[in-house]
Amino acid sequence: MPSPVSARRIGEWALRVLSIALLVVILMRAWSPSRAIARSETVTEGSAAKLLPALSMRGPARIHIVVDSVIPPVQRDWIGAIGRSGTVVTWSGPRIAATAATLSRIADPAGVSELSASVPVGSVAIVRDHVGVIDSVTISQNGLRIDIPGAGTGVGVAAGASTAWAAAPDSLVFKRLLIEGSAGWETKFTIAALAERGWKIDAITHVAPGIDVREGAPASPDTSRYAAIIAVDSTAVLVARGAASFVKSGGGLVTLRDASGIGPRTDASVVLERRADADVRASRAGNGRVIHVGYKDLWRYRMSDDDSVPDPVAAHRAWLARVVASVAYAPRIAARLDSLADPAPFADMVDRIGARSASLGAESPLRTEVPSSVLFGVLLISLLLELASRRLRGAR
Amino acid sequence: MSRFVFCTAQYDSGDWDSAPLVPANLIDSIAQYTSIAVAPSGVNVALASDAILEYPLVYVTGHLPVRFSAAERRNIRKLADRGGMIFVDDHNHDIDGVFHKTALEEITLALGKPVDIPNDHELYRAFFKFDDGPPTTSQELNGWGDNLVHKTLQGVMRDGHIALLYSSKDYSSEWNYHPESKRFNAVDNTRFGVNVIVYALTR
Repeated sequence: MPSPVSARRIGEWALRVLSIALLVVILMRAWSPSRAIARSETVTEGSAAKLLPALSMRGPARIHIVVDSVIPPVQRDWIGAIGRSGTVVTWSGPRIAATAATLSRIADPAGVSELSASVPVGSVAIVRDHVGVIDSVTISQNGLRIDIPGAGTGVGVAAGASTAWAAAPDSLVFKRLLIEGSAGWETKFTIAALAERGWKIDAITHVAPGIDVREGAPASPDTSRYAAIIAVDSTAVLVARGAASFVKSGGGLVTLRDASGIGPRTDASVVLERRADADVRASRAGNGRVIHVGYKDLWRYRMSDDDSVPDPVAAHRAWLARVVASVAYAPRIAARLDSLADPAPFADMVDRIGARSASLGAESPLRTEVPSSVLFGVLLISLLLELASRRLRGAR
Repeated sequence: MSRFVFCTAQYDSGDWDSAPLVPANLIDSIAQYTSIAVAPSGVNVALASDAILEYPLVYVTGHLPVRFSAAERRNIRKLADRGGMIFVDDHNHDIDGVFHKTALEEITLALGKPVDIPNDHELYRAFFKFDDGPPTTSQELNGWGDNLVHKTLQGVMRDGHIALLYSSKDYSSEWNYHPESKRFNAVDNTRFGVNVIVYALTR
């Protein structure tokens, strides 16, 4: 058994070793700055904006963010940049709806854009623009698709804690429509509906052999002049003559019920809608598209007195415009970059700062690192204890 | 292809069927001069019924006072607003007569006050060409009714086209004969009727 004096000497040696070790650690930290300041930070989403500048300066080894909703794009970029500079970035929080939205302009002079959004089934999607709420929809299946009239700027879709902002749609170049048919209500109201919708029309209405009523300056179908050509019935000889080459070069052809024989032959067609014994079929030919409307007397839709249709004129107009828009050739002019666009916020967040991790303590406990100042204090205390012990026993 | 059907409006007041041969005569002219698919006989449809909306060109005539019901007035408005056309002809040829006075009151109530249609309007070039505007009728030339030759027709416009055409010229008397009798005319006097129908179908 060692004597009390030798035990005291062992303690003094231990204090010396501890002091030297602490000195080495402090010197190493001073020599390697990144290690010297390495530590972890946990921030909440609300404080992130304030803390990001300081975190950028300190460059901690790890940042963990606790979020309630998708982090705003600027902060996402910032945190992503911190992550790429060597700091490990993780985040945790409740499950966030993975929304995404895109807005595309329909070839319709009324300025309609189609909003397509991916929203979890069962959630309530609130559609809004920068002015206010446009609509709200409960999602039953397959996301959301609605027409937004006059969407010149971005449109947002909010579901739960995530809001996706679709960028402003591209602009379209609208060419003219060529409509041809015999004098009758179908030709008249097809021309009227599409003109009312905002299309510029060239039309030929055949009244008698050699006698036509002409509107605009009807010419042979060509994509440099026409977006789409419409054959109302079998008298549409000008349309019939140029339809095949027009469609193959990218133009759109609409044939109404009595013009079924007009246009290029296509092998496959898709039924777009069906009512009773008639349907609307779409097919491709070369670069263009063809739609055949099998319904009889579309003009009766405009004149109907069905109480379920509050404005039959507008309904007839919108229906025909939709058919034409689905085939019309309309070159796009790319919209300006929209700085507010955030079409898929959750996916972007995962892309920049990784997938959601479990709560900080449960899955990835952070290694606690003692600050250098504390180590220095411990060093001083151990040196003082060693010195006091030696002096009190009379040694130098 | 659905055919054009000539429609005469039955209104509750007055004598809506005062010119029963006009439809057949105009149908005959349309078939004779144009390639428009036309039904061989016309129909008489109550102006107050929803069925009237299936006929975007409606012919209205009579001698007696006209008082439209609310439903008749509503349907006239619907026809005009949806791109249809109503052709009203004073069978009395008399601007002091009861049909003219009451019909104009009713038209004004339903659609607004009719205005003179200029004689170079496309109505007069829709098929046959009438350089001097509406052709005169034998009733005007014979001094019947108001003893006037009316220089213009009147109309209520909607979006640049004639939604209601009003005539004081008594075309109902002028055209109210059997189509086969046309062969006795040096010039077919129903030609302006063809213009009215072609205008309604194409503008």
